Amino acid sequence: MNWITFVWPMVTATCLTLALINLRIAMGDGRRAPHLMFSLAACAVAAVSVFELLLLRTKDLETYNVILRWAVVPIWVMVTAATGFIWSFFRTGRLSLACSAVGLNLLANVANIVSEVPVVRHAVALHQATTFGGVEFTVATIENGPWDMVEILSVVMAIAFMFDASLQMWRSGGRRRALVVGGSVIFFLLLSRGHAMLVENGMLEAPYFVSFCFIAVIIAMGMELGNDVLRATSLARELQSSQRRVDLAGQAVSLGFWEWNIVTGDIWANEAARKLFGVGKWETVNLDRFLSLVHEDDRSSVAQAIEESLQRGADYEMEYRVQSEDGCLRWISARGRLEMEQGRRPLAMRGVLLDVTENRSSESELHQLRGQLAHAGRVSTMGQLAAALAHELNQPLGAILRNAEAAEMFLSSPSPDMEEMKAIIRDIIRDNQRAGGVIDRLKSLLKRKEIEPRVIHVRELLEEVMALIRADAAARSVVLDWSCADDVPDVLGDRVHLQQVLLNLLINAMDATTGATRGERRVTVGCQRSADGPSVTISVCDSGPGIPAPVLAKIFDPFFTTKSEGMGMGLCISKAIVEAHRGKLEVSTGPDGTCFAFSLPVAQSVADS
Amino acid sequence: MTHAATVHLIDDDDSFLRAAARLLRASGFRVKVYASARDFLDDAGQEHQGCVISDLQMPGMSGLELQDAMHGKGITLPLVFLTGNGDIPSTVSAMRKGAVDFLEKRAPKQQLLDAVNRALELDEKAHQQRQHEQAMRSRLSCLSDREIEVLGHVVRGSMNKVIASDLGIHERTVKLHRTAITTKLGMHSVAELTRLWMEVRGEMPAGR
Repeated sequence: MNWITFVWPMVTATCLTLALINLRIAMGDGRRAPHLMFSLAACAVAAVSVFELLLLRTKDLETYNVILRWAVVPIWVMVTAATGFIWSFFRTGRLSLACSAVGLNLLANVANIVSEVPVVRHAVALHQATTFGGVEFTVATIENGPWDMVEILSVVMAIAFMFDASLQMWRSGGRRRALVVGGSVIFFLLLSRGHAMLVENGMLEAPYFVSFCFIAVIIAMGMELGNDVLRATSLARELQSSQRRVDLAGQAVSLGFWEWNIVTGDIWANEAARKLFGVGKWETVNLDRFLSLVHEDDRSSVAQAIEESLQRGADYEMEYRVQSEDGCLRWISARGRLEMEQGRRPLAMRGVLLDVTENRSSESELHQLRGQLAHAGRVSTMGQLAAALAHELNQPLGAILRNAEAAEMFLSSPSPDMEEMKAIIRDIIRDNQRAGGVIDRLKSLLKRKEIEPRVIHVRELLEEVMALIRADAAARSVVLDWSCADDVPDVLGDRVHLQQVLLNLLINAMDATTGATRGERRVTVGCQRSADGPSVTISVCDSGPGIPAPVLAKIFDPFFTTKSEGMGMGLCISKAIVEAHRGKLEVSTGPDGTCFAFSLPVAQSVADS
Repeated sequence: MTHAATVHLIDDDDSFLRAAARLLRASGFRVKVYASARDFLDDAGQEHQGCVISDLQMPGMSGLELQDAMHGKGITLPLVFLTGNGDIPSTVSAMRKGAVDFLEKRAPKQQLLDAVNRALELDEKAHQQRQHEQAMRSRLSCLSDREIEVLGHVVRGSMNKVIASDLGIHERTVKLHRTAITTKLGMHSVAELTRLWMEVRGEMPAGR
């Protein structure tokens, strides 16, 4: 037992261990070609080491030559694997050069094996030599064959390839890698080759230490790979903690994550998203399934939004309703981003979705409150008006009463003061005029000032008013239907005033349906071309109990109301506005409901169409 | 009415002021008119008797502000509010602070006159009460210090003997003082004396 019999097997063992480890890694998923190459190289070096040991110990020439002949196999594998490693690890260098080098080497070595007399090299004589510690080993006198140059050339080409690849790596910034891996492979390849040549030419009496050189390379390669593995591990850890953070964030707000693979059609969704839609944890979801879960009212809009996003390559943004698993309607707000292939074909859409029902309900509450406020504002302005009115009128009226009472008392005395009486009468007349003035001012306040006629798109007008009143109607469980015939032309009018009229009629209509049962509360708005003349008729109908005849007669009178609050000015003002638009506000009523309809003149330019 | 009770009428509305004054005068009241609360307050130097009839909503100082100002100045005339349009919070506030009544301007004549009469009655009663107190006070003031001391004990119900020992004087001296007291005050029973004491001093004399 000497150090030779100790060291070479150790090299073998080390190489094999490294080879196995990296083989295991290479068998995992992902880009593992470098690990495979490394594994091969390590195996090859292990084999080389075995062969070297055998060569050192063989005392028989025949055997020596057999071993020498076959030794090229692991060497070729080593060179090929090293080249392959550089190629797959660096991803630089000329593939053609690499292939030629490897191919040439293969050629030379195959020739060496199959030829009668090895064409690259063979031993002619053996002798024993001693090295450190007095250990004996076999040295051979090598004669090189005609293909020797081929083999050398192939190695040179391999080195050239590696050098080129390393240089490119260096230039593109991977300096350490280029130096450590590229540099070491080249260096040790040269070293081992050089040493081997020296030994073969008899200039040096030493054991081959190709395996030593190669293990140095293996270690260098291994270190680099090890760095990668370490980096991968730390990335994995980071990813895990990032994932946890995302999960936490997601959980905190019940954020749903989704990913739609457009190519295969599958949709991945996280637990929160599945829960929102009432979809099972393992159920497969595709676009159709998803759309079927969306509320039918919103389905077409959602499909349209998705389509638009796909076409324009823009982000997807949508809000829609979903029937959640506990049966109630939930509002979802969704966002998605497209992943395109080279800017053309959409590959996937990834996004988030959030339950915004609370927001919505408070939004609609807000809307409703705003509406109520506006409504109250209108009433309170009237209320304020009424209060101011009362005060303004009570002064003169009070004075008149007092004067009259005083006059009465004076007259009951035997000799009333006539001057005083005259003064009283004068004052009464003046106060009466004052009161009259107050009434006049009120009337002029109610008369609409000049209407500013503009061209109004009727459908748009109705849409705006509907939007304002929708929340109110929903809160009162009144079904609001509206339709506008397609051929309705634009009209001339004052937008704000017309909105007021519509709001007034709608509020009245909803009030009329208050008594009806939930399912029967219906308000219908329609608009169409008038049968007579160039005008548009807008109607607001309710499903209320109708208006009794005595009330009907006074319905448009000012200060007439059947409601406990409100001044009874709404219809009066509405009528005034409509009439100022040269239209007519008419009412028809029956036990099934009431309809208010008014007409507006068509805007001049389209009157002829 | 034994003294000149005046109805002070305050309103910024000229016409109503005149008309109301007419009515009240025709009903036999003595009326003074002011176009603003400030005018009335500026004039309140002398001892006024009567009542105040004021509008609620006035530019400058409002009716409620006038009420507070009167309290501040110690003017105790009863107050009746008239208004063109009353709102409940004002009513409550006014009544809480001691207004006699709160009427609409267009209230029937009788309501107004009733309110004025009530106010004047209240004022009269208060006036008499004040006068009575004044009289009592002045009567007490004619007693000497010693006599007041003795009176205090008498009112407490102590016997002459006890009073004498408390004050360190002869019982005979106590009897002399008591005679002087009854003569000066013209009251004989202890009950009367006690009542007088309470009215003037407001509380029983300090005990032993």
